[in-house]
Amino acid sequence: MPTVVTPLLEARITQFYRQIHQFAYAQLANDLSVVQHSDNFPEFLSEPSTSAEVIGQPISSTLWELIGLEDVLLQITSGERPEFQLHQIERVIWRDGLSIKVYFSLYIVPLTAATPSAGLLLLLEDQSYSGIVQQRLTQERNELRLVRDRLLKVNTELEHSKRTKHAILQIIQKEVRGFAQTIYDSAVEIEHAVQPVSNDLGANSSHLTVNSKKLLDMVANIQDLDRIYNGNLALDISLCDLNEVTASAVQHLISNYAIAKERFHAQFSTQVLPLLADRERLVRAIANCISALLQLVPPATLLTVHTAIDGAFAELRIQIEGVCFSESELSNFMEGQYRWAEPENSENIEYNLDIYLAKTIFEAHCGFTNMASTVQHGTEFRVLLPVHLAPMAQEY
Amino acid sequence: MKHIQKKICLLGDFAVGKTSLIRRFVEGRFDDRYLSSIGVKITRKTLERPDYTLNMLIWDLAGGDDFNDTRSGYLRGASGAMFVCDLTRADTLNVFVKYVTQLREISPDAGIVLLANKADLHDSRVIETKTLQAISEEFGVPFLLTSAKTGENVENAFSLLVEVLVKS
Repeated sequence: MPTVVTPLLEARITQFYRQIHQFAYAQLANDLSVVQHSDNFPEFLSEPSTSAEVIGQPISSTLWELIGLEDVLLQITSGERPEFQLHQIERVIWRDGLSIKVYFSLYIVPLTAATPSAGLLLLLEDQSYSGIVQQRLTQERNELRLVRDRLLKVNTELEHSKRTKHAILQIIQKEVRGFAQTIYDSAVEIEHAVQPVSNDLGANSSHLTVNSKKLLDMVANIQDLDRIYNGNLALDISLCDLNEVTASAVQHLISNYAIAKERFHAQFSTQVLPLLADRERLVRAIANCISALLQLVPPATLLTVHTAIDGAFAELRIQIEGVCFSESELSNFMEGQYRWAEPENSENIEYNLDIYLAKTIFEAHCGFTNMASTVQHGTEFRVLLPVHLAPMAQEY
Repeated sequence: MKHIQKKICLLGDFAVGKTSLIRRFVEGRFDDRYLSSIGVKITRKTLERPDYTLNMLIWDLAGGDDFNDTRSGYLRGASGAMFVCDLTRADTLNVFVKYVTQLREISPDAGIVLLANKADLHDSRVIETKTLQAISEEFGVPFLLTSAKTGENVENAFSLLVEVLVKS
């Protein structure tokens, strides 16, 4: 067994290594000019150059990566430094008539280890394959980091919003409701006191009563909305009649919201429409719904309120003749949209959350809601609530 | 006419817009897609001034990697550097000290300019001007708000660094 590698084997290994590794090389004089180079050396240069343009020239004039590093290279020629390396240099080069992006590493060592002053060997090794793989990995890692950072930021904002929401809800529950109730109670007393007087004071006290009642309803709605979003809305179920509930809702609007009774046309079923429902919430939901619809139509528009039996369901229909909405507007009414821009900057109708809230309350009673608009029939808001199977004894 | 050749490195965290700033400065264009750099890419830009011609070799260094010997190799021989941070990501300014310390260890005389990039993203901005001012004063480096996307202050940023380099 030979223990020393023969020149023939060494030459073969070098030949084979050159087949599987793309590299170029140059010999540099100790003044850092190019003495000789491999055939493919010019293709790695910073700008396309011929051999004649390279030989005898300072290496940094054709390989810009070495600009500013002359002192480092001279340290190698003087034996103060063993070598110098630069990795992952990106370059667009021309190869076989094609423009391609390559990554290569640069190594500079003494030409002969024993006498560094004899000049330098510059080796450029094409590492495009590993470079491209690393670029893809880096790309994915960086994109993931960006996503992670965004998620952390969003999470912080969510936490902040959550805390703010909690504080606001606490204030509404503990303070605003109390204030609103006090204002309402006082307003009712003032209204009664000034009732015989039909002057500005009477009108103002009435205005105060209406708005403080609206505020109280709004507080209740906000609390319900939060319960709905949190999935913990608890209904206080009892037996009631949809006719009575609807009539109460209309009366609530007439009495407390100062809406003229002439704006309503009631067509109630002669049959009792028994429901197992949270009566108070249902009254508020129907009132919310009618009130919201009234805000969407011109002031003199008449609303027809129907109730009827429809198979296993009690039906409530609120009809607005001559007023139509687009599909997107109808969809917005039902999806809990609230106007984002100030009214003067908004092209949208000024809608609020009342219809969405009412829809959700109806759904919590296993009901269905639908809102449709046609040119011929105007707009119709329809609710179906399951009839309680043990009917009430009474008939109208 | 005097011919000057300077090596300038762009430093900073990943995805702050170093490559985009160079592309805007050298090619006058912007690409919205993010393509991570690895290693280094060198671009040359020649600036003609009344009393000199400056050949700038702009080293676009990959950001975000740990500080190691590889980066030291890239920084050797640098006459100047631009540290780039992203105005929409506060942590990209936090690494300023590490980068500048490393640069000053290797190239103590290198001039430095601090660039707060992505100035066009007003709504997402999280780094305030007073923070940049404080760093600028503490480390004695001028700063500019830039946008590779709109081109805002990009020419000015390189001109500012050139002024710093030529003075030195």
